[in-house]
Amino acid sequence: MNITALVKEFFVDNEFHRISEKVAVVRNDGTVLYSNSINSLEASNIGALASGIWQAAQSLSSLVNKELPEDAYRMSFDTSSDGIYLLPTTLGASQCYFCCIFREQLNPGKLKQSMRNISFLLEAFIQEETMRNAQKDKPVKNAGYLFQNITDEEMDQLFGVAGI
Amino acid sequence: MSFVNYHTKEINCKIVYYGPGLGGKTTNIQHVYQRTSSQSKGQMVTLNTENERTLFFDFLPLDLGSIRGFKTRFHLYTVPGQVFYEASRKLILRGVDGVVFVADSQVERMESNIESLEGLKRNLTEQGYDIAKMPLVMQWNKRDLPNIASTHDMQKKLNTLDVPVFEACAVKGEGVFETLKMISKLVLLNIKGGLED
Repeated sequence: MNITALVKEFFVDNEFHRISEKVAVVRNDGTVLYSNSINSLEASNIGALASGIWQAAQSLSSLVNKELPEDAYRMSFDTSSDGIYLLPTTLGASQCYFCCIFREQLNPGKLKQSMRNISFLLEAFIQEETMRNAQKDKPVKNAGYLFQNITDEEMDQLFGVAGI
Repeated sequence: MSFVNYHTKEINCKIVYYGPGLGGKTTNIQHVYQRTSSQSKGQMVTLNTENERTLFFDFLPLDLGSIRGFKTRFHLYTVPGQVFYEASRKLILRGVDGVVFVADSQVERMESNIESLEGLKRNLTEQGYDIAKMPLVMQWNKRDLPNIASTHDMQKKLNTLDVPVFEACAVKGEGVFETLKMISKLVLLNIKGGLED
């Protein structure tokens, strides 16, 4: 099952990618599963920062509260029209964050409510697809390492593309 | 973190530069940023204190070429080196695929190197990793300074796992890409999961 393809399908087919300026779904280690950003390198920055601020906030909150589960929290950094909103969401076995960066919103509260609904729908969609695909997922041919060997020349070529 | 998308044939990997404060971790990725063509790099994110010490992390996404049909993207992170930022270091190690340990070669920094390396082992263990199985490269940085420990001494005290080592002077860019190439290779070789039929 290709979770990135599924998340993209969910956002694009339902036009949820239009709900704000920047929309992203990020795994808790910073990996971007989906972003509506045209620049994928910018999306990587969003992934690193979103997971970073969430984890930092989580560590801070643990100083006073060790009881609440992670999905009980949500995170805002906003004015009455611009800002960032982060929601935890569990996709398959991964803890992820649904992130919107918004500006010039007349009603950010409505956007946040929409995000909570979308997050709920996304979790249900991924769960349903996971169950549906469980039967037909292809077995891997080689369960070991992706690359058995890599030569120094291949590494030089890899870095050569970046002008290094 | 290593994230292989077989559908789009993309590989994403997370490399963390770890080591004592003022050892040159940020300098390493700044050099990578400066020397990389603009279409291959994203904006470098730095979360610094006012005196330019790393507060939370530095981050640089780097698009390299393709290897056997897979496009590769490396996410380079540094941790804050100062001892009181232990909590941040733990967070940044989450999902790590490979570590570059940047040691300060100055004799008087040896204790800090050892302390930082012990912290790395402890933090990796807490995250469920075994340092002996983690792609790891050592970098003896600041080899241009006068009061440095011998490489033999550094090897003996810091490289008990006998991982690849590179001497470096990160401010001049020496050894920076050699280190990055080696850790990238080790990370790619460590990616699990075969090709689909």
